[in-house]
Amino acid sequence: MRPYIPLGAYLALMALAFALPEYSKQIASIAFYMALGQAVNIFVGLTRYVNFGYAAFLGIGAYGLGAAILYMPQLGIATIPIGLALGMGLAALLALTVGAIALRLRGAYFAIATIGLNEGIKHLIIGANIWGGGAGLMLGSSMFKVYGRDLALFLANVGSAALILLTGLISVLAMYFIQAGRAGYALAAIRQDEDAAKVMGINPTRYKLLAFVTSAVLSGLLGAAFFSLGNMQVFPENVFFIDYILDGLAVMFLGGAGTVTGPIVGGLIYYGARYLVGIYLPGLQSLITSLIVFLVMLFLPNGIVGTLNRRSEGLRTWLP
Amino acid sequence: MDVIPYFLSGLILGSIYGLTTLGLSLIFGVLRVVNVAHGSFVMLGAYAAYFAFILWAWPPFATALLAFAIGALLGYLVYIGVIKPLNKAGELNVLVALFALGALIAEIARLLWGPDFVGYRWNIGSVEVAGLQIDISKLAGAVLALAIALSLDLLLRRTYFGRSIRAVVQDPVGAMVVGINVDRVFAASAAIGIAITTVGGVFLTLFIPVGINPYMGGPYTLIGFVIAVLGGLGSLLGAYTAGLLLGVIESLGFYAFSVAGFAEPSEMALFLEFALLLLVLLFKPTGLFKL
Amino acid sequence: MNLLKVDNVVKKFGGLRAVDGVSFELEKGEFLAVVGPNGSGKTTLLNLISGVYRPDGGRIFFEGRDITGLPPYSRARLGMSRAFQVPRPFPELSVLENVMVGAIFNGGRDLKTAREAAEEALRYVGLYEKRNQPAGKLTFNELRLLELARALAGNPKLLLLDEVMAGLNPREIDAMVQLIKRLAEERGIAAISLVEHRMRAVAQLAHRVIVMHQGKVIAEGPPEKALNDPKVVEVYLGRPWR
Repeated sequence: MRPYIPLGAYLALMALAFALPEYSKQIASIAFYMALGQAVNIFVGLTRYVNFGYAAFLGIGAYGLGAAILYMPQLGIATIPIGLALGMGLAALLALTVGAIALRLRGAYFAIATIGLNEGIKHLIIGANIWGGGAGLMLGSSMFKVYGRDLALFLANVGSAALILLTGLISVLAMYFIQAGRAGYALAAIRQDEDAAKVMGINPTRYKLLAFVTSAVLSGLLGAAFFSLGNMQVFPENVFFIDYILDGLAVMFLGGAGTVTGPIVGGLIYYGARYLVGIYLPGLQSLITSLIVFLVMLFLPNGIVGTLNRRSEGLRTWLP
Repeated sequence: MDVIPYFLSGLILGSIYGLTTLGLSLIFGVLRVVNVAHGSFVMLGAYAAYFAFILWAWPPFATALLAFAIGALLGYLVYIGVIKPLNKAGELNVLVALFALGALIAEIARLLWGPDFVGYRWNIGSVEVAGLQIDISKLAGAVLALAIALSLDLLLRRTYFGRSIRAVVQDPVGAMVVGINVDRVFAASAAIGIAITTVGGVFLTLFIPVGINPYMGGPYTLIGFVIAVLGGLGSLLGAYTAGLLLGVIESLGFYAFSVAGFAEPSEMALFLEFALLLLVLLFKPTGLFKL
Repeated sequence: MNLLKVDNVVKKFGGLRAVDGVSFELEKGEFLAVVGPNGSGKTTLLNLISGVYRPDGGRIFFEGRDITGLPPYSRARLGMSRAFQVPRPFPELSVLENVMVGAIFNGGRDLKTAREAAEEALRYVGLYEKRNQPAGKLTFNELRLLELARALAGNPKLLLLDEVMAGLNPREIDAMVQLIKRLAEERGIAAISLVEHRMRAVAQLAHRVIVMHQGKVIAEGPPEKALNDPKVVEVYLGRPWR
């Protein structure tokens, strides 16, 4: 596997965001779908387990950065890096807790545990009135105070796009390094026959947890970059929105689960499809999304890149 | 303040929760498939009750029969169109397709009926039990739910069809060898399972006078899974009993969170249910009851 | 100290006692055949030893250490390798990668040493030429050999063989018998093999035979003696087992 083309794609888009800052919001939107599919892929593609609570990690990451910006302005310039670390840390903690409990069990039970995750965390934040409760966090004025108006707006536009693209890029690298090492062999074995893998000395929970936490941390980073930095606000109804789960699954399965190039291709097509639907069939985006996922599962379960990959060795190497 | 009314109303609501979960448990028990589209079928049942009441003044218990037929047809289609063709490809494909289907049904409902909350009120008087005014409609719903749960259990234990279901559950290959049409058993279980889920949605409307909306399924999916796991996935009477238990926990939790001064006690009660799910998965993933 | 000690293990499924108080010991380098008709409990016994099931009673010791509560992957790392009756390759991995999985996780080796061990195991069973094919494309006999190579690459002290002769033709059985014999003699690897059919292959291979019936051991000893035990003949009466 040679990851140069997918890595190059993210670097090129990043250069574009800096060169054409007036288009950075559009680039950020496209990149969001790519990175979303990429982060979902690290867990779902590598383990063939499905995480229906995915949006919870986006949300918790957004809250990490949001809380840092709003409640720790004394950190100054360091607010954002520390906030990002906080968001990723919270996502990791949540993934470790849920994963250590539910990844010991079979896929069906894991799916059940995660389907409540998103709702569960949302209800906790609203119900216990944590971090602004149902009213959410408004970050604009704190951002202006800490970074000054111009820099804050630059960070929200270009900075957010670049960070989203960086999330995609790190996801590609994470996928590459996981697959190149022992964990790659373990996960390949677990995907294909978990019982046989166990008898060969593989502890399935450990490797599934590795993929789950990696995916969660990158999702946390993505949530922070997109909501807290890009939109300068965090609303529970917004960040814990079930549609993001379907978006991530749509992008990943369109491109091809388990492939590294897949989410880039899937993200581009998916963004295009949503854009056109927004113009010609406004209000039907969510319907089209669920229809896409449903049809892809029925008729193209390996996705575009996954299907092409099966045809030729060269494609498998260069478009992994 | 007294706990008893909360306990009683929890028990009554719990009977309906138990009913809505029977289908989930049956489908998992027979097909080994987690119906993650569960909530959307609850939602369809709720809309059926609403429209039949508003348009034709049907009482919900009459609508239940209609909902059973609609649910059975949909369940059969879900089996033929989704579960059967995808089962070979693996669990992931089935789960994701069902999840997307659930969202698709909700979106179609929004397209047809709009995003707003609707509801109706079927008032046939009330009785006083232990100092609590209980609507007769709710009480009758709870009793009827118990009757349905017991009949379904009896159906599985006593009839030829029930015995072939249990044979398939225990040993699909062996069942095939002795001449049971496994495919037909699967299709029938999916049909009955989703039919009962839809009926559960009809009954639920007795308790949520303004709570019908295309996206209402989300929390009921969560509640359904908590109950199914508590009762032991695949066990019918286990699911019903766990439904009662969860109804009580939710109601008492609501009471406790209000007393403790939480601004949104119902949200906290939902979180409590999620925490409970994790605890059961941690300590007793096979469920609490042996029924 | 013996390699494996099974002490009065019991496994129940509902009301059925699938394994009902079985005890035996196994020496280093010893080859033991567990014989019994379908449903006699021998597969359950193998699953108890490899850790797929936990016993409802009794204990299991490996090199003197109580392993009754250990999960399968920990047992594998102690030096137990299992070959399934129906070969279970990872079909999308190549033959070499399949064997590498066996080598990597038993004993915590890095990828380079694991690759060497895997290549060596493939040469040993005669599959080296096919190392780059996807495992899904092998013939049934080759899958059996792959299964064995995968078990071998983990450098095991004990091989658990689940009916590895079933479905092979007489010539393939001969080759497999020679291979397992060589393993015992050249490398001192002990083995437990389940046998339901083709007792001829067993008799010339095993050091010792245990005969199971309805979850219990009904005869034990050298092949000639155990297989001709009157109780065993009775259990197999009417079966063309010779």
